[in-house]
Amino acid sequence: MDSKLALYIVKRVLLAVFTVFLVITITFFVMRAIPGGPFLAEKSPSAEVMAALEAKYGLDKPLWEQYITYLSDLIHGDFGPSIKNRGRNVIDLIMEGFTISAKNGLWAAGIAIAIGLTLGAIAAVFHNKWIDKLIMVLTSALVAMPSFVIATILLLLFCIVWPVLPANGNTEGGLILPIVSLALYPMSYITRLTRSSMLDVMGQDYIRTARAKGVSNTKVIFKHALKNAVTPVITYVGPMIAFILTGSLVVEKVFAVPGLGDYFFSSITNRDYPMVMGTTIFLATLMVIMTLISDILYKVFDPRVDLG
Amino acid sequence: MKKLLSLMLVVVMVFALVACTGTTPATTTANQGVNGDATNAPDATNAPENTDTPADPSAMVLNVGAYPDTIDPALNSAVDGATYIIHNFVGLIGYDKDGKLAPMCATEIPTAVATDDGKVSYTFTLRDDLKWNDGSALTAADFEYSWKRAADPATAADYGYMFDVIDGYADGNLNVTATDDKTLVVVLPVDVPYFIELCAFPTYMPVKKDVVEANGDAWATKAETYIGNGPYKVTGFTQAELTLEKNEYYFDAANVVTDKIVFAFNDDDSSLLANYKNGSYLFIDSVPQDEIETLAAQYPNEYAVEGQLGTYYVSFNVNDKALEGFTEEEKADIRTALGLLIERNYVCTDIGKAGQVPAAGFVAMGLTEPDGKQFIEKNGVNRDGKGYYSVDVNDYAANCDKAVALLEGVAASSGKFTVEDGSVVGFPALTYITNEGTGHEAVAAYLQETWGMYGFTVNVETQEWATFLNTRKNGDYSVARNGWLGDYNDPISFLDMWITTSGNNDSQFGKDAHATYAGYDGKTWAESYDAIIAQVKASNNPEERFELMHQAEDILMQTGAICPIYYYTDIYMCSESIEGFFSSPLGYKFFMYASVK
Repeated sequence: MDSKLALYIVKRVLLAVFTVFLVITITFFVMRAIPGGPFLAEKSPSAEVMAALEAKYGLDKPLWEQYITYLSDLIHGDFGPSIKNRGRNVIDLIMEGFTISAKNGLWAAGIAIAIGLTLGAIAAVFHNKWIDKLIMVLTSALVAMPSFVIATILLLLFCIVWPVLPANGNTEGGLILPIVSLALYPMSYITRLTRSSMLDVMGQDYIRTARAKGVSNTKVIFKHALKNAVTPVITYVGPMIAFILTGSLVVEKVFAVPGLGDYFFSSITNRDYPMVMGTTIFLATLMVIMTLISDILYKVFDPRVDLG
Repeated sequence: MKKLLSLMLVVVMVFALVACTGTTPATTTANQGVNGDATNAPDATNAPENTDTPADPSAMVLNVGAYPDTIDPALNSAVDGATYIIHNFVGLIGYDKDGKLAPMCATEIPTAVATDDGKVSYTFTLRDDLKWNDGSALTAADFEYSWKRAADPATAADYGYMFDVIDGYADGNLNVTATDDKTLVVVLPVDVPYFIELCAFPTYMPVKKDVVEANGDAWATKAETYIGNGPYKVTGFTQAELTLEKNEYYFDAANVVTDKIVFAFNDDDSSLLANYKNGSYLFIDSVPQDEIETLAAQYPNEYAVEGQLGTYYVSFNVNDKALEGFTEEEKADIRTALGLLIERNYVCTDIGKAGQVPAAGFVAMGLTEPDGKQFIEKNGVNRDGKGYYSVDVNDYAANCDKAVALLEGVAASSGKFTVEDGSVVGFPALTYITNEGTGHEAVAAYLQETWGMYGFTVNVETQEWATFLNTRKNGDYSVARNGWLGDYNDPISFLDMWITTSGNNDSQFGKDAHATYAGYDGKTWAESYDAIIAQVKASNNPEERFELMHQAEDILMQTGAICPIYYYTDIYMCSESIEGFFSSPLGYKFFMYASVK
């Protein structure tokens, strides 16, 4: 099994590299195809300055040449300079933002998984009891609410109406609200996934057999039911972590967290081509890695899964 | 392996249960941990993070914008960037604590001296013992280097053209010479009244040659290499904030009261307001549009509206394909009529809501004539300050009648549509483009409705920002939202943008079909408008210069293609505890003389 797993991982990594390459190529050409450019502004620079800028960033060369140059720089680990933020390298900007976003994201993901699994298990165990119904109503509401609504409500409640927490994510305790805002949606989603999957598992023959053999209820729930119910959750959690680590535009804006989230959006608005490429490659790579990890975890939790 | 995983899962669940029963305390502790990590972790910029909290009484925490694109004095063209720069750099001339122009690095404001070859020269004498904030000496040669660097097209500075008033700009050899350590001689082809003000502009501030040359554009991205000569110096620069501390080498350091200023980067209006209300920020430069009325009522001493050198307007494309087939005169009448139908007072009070002033001309308010009057006090064809149409709320009905009369004239001469009961019938549909933004879209909806009442079919197309800029610049539109902020206190900053070759000539004057139209006193756009602007730039006589600029505005308004709506205002909120703060008409915020009571 081990060699099979190793082969599987190698295959998947190669596929991942190819996926990222496709993403790079598509993003590169699509970005250039949309109208506008990085130097346009309400006040346009003069034609001379425009030409100097285009030469500086190599935008005056034919597109295919720019593409080849970009790829060869990338292979050498050079993501190029940001056009918008003069004098800053794309990779520095991304890493600075990622350090902050990832820290928030890890907390949020941890909280979401821990509470989500617990609530899901509780809801399943007390199926159709009042506690199950309460959990379902709450999580339905949270899943339905977009993050800007949640973030704004939290901001209003805890910073203005009852000012116990800072509204500025850059101060002491300022990360509590952004983390909570980030965690609520995946937490609710995981709760619902865990619940339905647990209910499914708990109806299976082997659970009934375990119970019939006199295995304690706690053991049935934790060892047999939850462990087997966790597989669909893993499928969701992999990509969820990739998204949550790279920050949320809305949450970071609302709480003034200097994270990565904003760059995904602003780099496109600014036509900051190297930054668009950088953020896209970064997210794509992270996504591919997380998917790979969750696929491997699948196998760990459910030996019946054939990785072939 | 499996057992271990199950065990871990159980541990996680137990943790979660604990967290569940006491959510608030648990997450609080957890997050203090996060913050602690952030303080101790070495940051990518090596600058301390989270060391400044609003609790620090010696620091003013302020907000004037988001993380800036650049804070290099030569490269910056943004208002927030300029605010950061004026705290870290000072030019030959600057603003004193009353907001008046005063000598800074120079000992006095020089006067122009005629040279033998018919040009003028200004000789600046620098103060003794001027120093950079690293303690090294600052000399006249530093100014020469900085100005030449900023004007060089290779530097690719947006505001490089700010130096076009100096001799030699066009040949790439700026006529600026440091004759010795303390003397800078500048030669201008003609004297321009705003040159002294330009010397106070961020683009004219000195930068230190060795740090710039050693680090390239990156010199202005790190506290260690960001060497300036102003009242403050940068001690921390992260994506969250810019931390400034008093520069002990500043020549006027005795008058800088506050030791530390933190500019927090944030551009989310709701977040700004929340931070202002709970005291985190003592100053915010933007407020949510919907809150304007409430804030004005709730914080009468803190909510401020200041005039700003700028005009919000609608631009028509003179080569619009939708109006093909009409003569140039007919097109101008149609555009003028559409302009007259706009009730500017309604837009200001019901949409803008921020004290905007209805505009009766394109050149904004706040610009001074040689006799000390405002430029707009003399605008309009009669030079009586009544503008090019009346913006009096009581004259709106008359404006509409005039508009209908113009349209009837065009209907009769062109035969392409009719006017029935004051409404056009059979007029081609027009498309109005705007970028996203509640204010812009509200104006678009208003125009659509108002013009619709007179029978016009107007489709509103909202475009993404960069696409919008591209469409407008290339003239692929009929009617577009537009706005312009002046660069300095001179009307030319509003007028030279409309010459044929200007990169900001969104109306496409003098291009394609319009290039050959000789309807401006029998002259084409190039022969009339472009020629007048060239004359303005070559004029040595202030009165003549201003008269020429009024003439240029007359031509511009005669086209109907520039349809001003209102003059911009700048809204901000400044805590009552701050004293000694002021704002300039360009929107720069001055905190170097400010302190917290």
